[in-house]
Amino acid sequence: MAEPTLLEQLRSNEKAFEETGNLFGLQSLPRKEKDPGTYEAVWHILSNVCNLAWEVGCKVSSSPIAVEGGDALWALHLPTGEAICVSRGITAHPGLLAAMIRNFIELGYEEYPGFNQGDIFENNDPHYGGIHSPDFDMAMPIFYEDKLVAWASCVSHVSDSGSVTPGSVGFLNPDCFSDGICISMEKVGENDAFYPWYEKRVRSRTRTPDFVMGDARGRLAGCVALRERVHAVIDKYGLDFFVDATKEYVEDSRRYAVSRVRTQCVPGRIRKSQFKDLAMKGQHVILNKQDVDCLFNLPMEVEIDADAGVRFSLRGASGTVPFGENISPTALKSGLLNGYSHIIGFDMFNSGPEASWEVETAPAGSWANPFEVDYTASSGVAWAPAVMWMSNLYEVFGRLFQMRGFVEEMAAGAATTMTAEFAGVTQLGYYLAGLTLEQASNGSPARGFTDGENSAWCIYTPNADFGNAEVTELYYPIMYLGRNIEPDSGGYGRFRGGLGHTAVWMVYGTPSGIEYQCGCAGMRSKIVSNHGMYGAYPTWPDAPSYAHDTNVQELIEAQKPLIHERGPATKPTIETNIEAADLQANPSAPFLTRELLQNYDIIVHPISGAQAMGDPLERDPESVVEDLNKGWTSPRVASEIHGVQTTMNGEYVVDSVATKQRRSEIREERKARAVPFKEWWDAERQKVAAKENMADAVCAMWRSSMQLSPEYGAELRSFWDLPDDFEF
Amino acid sequence: MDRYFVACDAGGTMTDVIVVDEQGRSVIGKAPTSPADESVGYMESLEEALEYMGIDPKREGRSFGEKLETSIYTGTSMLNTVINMSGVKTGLLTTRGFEDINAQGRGSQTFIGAQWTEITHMQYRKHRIPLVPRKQARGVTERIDMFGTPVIPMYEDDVRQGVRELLCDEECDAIAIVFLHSYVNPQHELRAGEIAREVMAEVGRTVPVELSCEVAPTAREVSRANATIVQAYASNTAREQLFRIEKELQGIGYPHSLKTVLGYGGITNIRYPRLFEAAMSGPVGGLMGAKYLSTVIGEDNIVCSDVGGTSFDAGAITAGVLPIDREPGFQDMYVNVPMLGITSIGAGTGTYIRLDPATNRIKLGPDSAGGVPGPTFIEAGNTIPTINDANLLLGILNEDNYLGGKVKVNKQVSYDLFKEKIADPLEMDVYEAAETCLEVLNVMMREHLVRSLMVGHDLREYVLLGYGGAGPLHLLGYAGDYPWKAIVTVPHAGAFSAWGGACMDYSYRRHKSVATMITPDLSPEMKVGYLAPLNMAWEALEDELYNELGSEGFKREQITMTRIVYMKYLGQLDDIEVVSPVDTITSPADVDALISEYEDQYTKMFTLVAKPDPAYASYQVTEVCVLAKVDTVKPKLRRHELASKTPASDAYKGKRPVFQQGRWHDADIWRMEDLVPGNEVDGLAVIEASNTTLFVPPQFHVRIDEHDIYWITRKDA
Repeated sequence: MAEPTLLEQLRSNEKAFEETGNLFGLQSLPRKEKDPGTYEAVWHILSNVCNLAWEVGCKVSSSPIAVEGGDALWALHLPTGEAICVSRGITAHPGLLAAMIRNFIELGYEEYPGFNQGDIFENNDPHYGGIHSPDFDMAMPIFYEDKLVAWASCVSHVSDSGSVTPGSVGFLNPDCFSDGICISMEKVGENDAFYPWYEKRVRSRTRTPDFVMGDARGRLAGCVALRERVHAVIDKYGLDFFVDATKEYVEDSRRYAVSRVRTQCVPGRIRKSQFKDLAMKGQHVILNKQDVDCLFNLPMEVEIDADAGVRFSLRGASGTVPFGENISPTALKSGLLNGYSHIIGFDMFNSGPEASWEVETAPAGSWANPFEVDYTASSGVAWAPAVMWMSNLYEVFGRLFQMRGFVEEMAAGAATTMTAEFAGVTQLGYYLAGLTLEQASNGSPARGFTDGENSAWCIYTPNADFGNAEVTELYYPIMYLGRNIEPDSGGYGRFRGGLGHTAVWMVYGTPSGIEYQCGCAGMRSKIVSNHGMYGAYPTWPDAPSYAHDTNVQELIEAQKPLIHERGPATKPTIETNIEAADLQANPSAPFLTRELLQNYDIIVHPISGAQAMGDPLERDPESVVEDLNKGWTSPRVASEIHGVQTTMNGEYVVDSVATKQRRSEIREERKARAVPFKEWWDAERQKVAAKENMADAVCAMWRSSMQLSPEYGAELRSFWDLPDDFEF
Repeated sequence: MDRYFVACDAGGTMTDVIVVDEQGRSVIGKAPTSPADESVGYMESLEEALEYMGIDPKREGRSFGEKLETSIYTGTSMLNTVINMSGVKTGLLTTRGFEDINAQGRGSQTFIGAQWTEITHMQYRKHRIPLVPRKQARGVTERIDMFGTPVIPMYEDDVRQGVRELLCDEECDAIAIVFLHSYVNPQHELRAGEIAREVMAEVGRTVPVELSCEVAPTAREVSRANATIVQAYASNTAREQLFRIEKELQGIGYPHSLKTVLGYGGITNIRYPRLFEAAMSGPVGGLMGAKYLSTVIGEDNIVCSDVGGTSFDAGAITAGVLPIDREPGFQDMYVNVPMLGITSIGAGTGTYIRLDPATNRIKLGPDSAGGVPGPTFIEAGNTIPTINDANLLLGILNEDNYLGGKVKVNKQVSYDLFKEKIADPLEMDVYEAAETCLEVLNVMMREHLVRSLMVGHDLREYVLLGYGGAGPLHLLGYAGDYPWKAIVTVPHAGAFSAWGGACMDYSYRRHKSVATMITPDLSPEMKVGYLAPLNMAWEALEDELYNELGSEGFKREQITMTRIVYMKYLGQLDDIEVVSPVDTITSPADVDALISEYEDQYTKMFTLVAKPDPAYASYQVTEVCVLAKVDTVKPKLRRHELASKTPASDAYKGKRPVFQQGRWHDADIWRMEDLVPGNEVDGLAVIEASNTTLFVPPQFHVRIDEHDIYWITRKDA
């Protein structure tokens, strides 16, 4: 009997899952049950094989963002695409890579151009499941004795995607035609070598071709290393074992995720509201249609049934935006798998957990499902709203864990993510565009039992790290004047989020100036960010600043104070210490500088801390004082927000009596402000019905959410008791 | 007159001292480590060794001390100072805006050595407690760029005020000075050091001042700061411990200075200024012993594997060259300290065996029972089965010979616990389950070995050496059926690291970052000019090394220098080490030779697909290094007459059932102490000594060579 085609295998797998609820119809795991030692041993070997590919590939790659920032990953897949195991690195991508391989099969590539050993396939096109143009996804089939037995895959983030603005975070892209170089589900090489046109296209369509090609070679070298080691594994353990066990690993991982939910969560329905703004009205944009403020509705609803089945819904997601912040459903689903791996399915990270939940696809025409309605929508930095939506996951599951008493697993929401990207001729005389590593290391969320960690977590990659300033300075014409922990950047609560940091740069060494892009990879322009959970208070939004045409050179010559930190929000240091022809102390982020920055110009770039948890009045006064003595909080915050009163004895010391008194007063003040819920609801309802004090962006968001998701609209009207024909 | 060598390996729990005579005869003493005063454990261990040697330490100690050629310390004193946070209160003077550099660390420092499942699990993140909290850091306005140009002059008032506050307000007992890019131009750090000394004179208080440009002059400020801080924080405390040991040794007549071991191999006087380079000397002895062994057996490529109770450490010597890691992890910090490239995983005889409650999967470690690697069967109160329980149940470990028979074991306890916690939930027979768990451990170890060597190396060219107390026990398990050139172990495997300490040469390394780039558009002559800074950097480093070794009393002609560069293609972050094929770069041919050597190594490591089109290839040299070596007198590996292949009957202890491949077999049991060079043993066999056990599965054969080295081959090879 002829071997079924991969497409037939796909259909057969789907049918088996539908009929049994088990991936591949595996109601038992015979290889594991019969030979648990070999099963475990081969899992260990395959994981190591992926990490070996990572080591080889990263050493060959050219992007510091890939190597030092962890923005790359290699994976091994079943013939039908499901990820079996992955390397370390950017865990947001295994779902995408799996979907890409599946898509090659669905599109009939098995028949034409066919799959052969040594073939190289790539995609970076969001229309076909890619996330955004700088993330190049690669897949190579692995044959054994003429049978396609697996795939090796890789993703790496290149320094320049050739989009309308230099670099790789194209938040300003007005449409997909401005997203840059496009590899749309293409066979880009064979016999382990790229076709000659590939390098030519990279050279003609990106600004940093040496770096982009270096990354391409890194992806290829890692995939080839992975393939060769998989051959050795099959030689040793046999093809039958490999074929069976690799499927079992995926199903086993699904079961693990289900088991975690069953034993540590509660059934029911939970909803988390989340919003993101993108305030671009009056800013430097590409097309007129972008002269607009946007607001995203990022709702997450999770329903868990009695069998621990999980269903996610994005019902209510608002409409597309004329910027690069729209994401395909495939990419968003991969992001969900990433978030899941941080809190649920981290044991055996592969495609298994994806089969443990269902996602109700976001309404067509929303930021999370743009192309059916708006085929030209841009995805230049599709992660931007997606990572904030993923942050809901931490908080939702944090609450579920708390309900079952698993306090140690609770986490508040993640930090927001703001990128810094430079483009121009460097101090070494060549042109470079690309990200710094700053954003790859936020504070980590507050936990149910302690504070988050400072500069230690990044929602899109567990390999969170900001690298060394001296390494960044080797690449870009900037000098660090500061990189310290930013006080009070982790919110205020019983447990605070891990703190972020502020990079202060002085432009230096460029012969012709550089562009600075304060990019959005999941941040807010004006509205409250990092709101916290369980009564915690938020911190202020990310507040970058810059100064162009400055007096810094004169200050240096006179040995006057410079700038090394952001300073108080109400009185930023850039205003007090620096004079400049163009001084933007509090510009609305994200933005791209209108003019090239020149030597001695200043940039203040904050990296957010994460969210806090619990009432700040319940924070241990000793923890508040410890932060005070480290300079991580201010006396005002200690006194006014935490109610902690202190005395000085060389350092701050808790005044217990005064603290108790002050906390009691604050509680009384709260009571005095409080109103019954019904009273509050009546007052708010009147405002809603009258659209009182609502900016255009707010109305536009609610209008699109209700139009795209009528059910959600009906629920909203019902909650506020609004007429059936009410629209914003 | 007989001459002796003494080397010690002071671990967290035990201090091993090995005494070797010139003929290569050795004895080992053991005593508990005494962290408060390490000289106590050292001398107790030495006395025990002397007793084994038939020397009465009380009566003959002095005459023995006078015959001591070298005494070497390797150990954990500096490590313990950092672990216990018992160093001196250290202040940091750093580039303004970087005062949090130590307290903040780097995200990647929160998962050094962690497994992937731990890295992805967000809740596990944890920074270490900083050695220098923010309160003890002061900023200085200054900046030097990557080329070494002072862009912001140092505000000297900042230095004066900072030092004064650190001395008077914070009462610091040491000061570390770390400015950005000081590895290129140390001008600001040197001047800050001068000012610090002026301030100390003014306030009447002198403390050690460590400059990063002197301690670790290479790029990456977080790691350089960590290294400089460790030097300031821990080296003087550790040095005091070493002086105590030296004093005790000199009390018994030892006429020389005590030596210690640098993390990159090689010995040095304990007065060596950058003593922090000895902070990670613990695992070095094994590799250095292996290096010496390699010269005896005539093999250049050796894979070193060390199995202990907690961890499995591995490193590879290639073409006689020791692997170097320039930025290793140390106590959850990265440090710019060259160290032998040894990688570890949590896998040893004490590794815990558990089943995942959600999936029933076997989980080994990564935690372990640590210093009590048989806690269940020795009834130490622990009830989680370990790898050693599996070894005992399978008959591989002798219940009557645990730690030489000194410790009584209860096999039934192991059986009951293994059955309840592992075998029954897996629905397996106890012995099958135990064998399964051992195989998983072996695979973990084997994979670790293969992955540490995989990049660009062919296993068929390497000899696998197993040591450590449990090395011989697991060696053939993790050797597996990979095509090693040979597999070897030694009877003193348990003290191999200490023995290795006695086999080292004087060897110093100095590194310096450079920034040179050659692009395809340059003429051959311009390329020579662009690489000229390498010659100057090499010469400067060699001058430093000649001075340092000269102060140790060595003559120039005794010193061998090796010039090294670190190269990469433009844009890459990771460079690779290349021993320069030419002494200086003075002609286009020299440039071509260097590039050719680099590209040969690069393609070997990463395959041809990783090589760029030559038309576009640009190269960067990021760092140079000079390795200086002075040969020293070392113990000889004694050559014996070969006896017959058949061991003496006294060596045979009988038979014991051993569970292998699903059933019981009768294994031959041999007494290692009675096996002699020339003897050969077939598997299935267990060769027992008081401090180690060599397990020989049925498919293997053992031959003991004239140096008492055990060569193990597959019977079907």
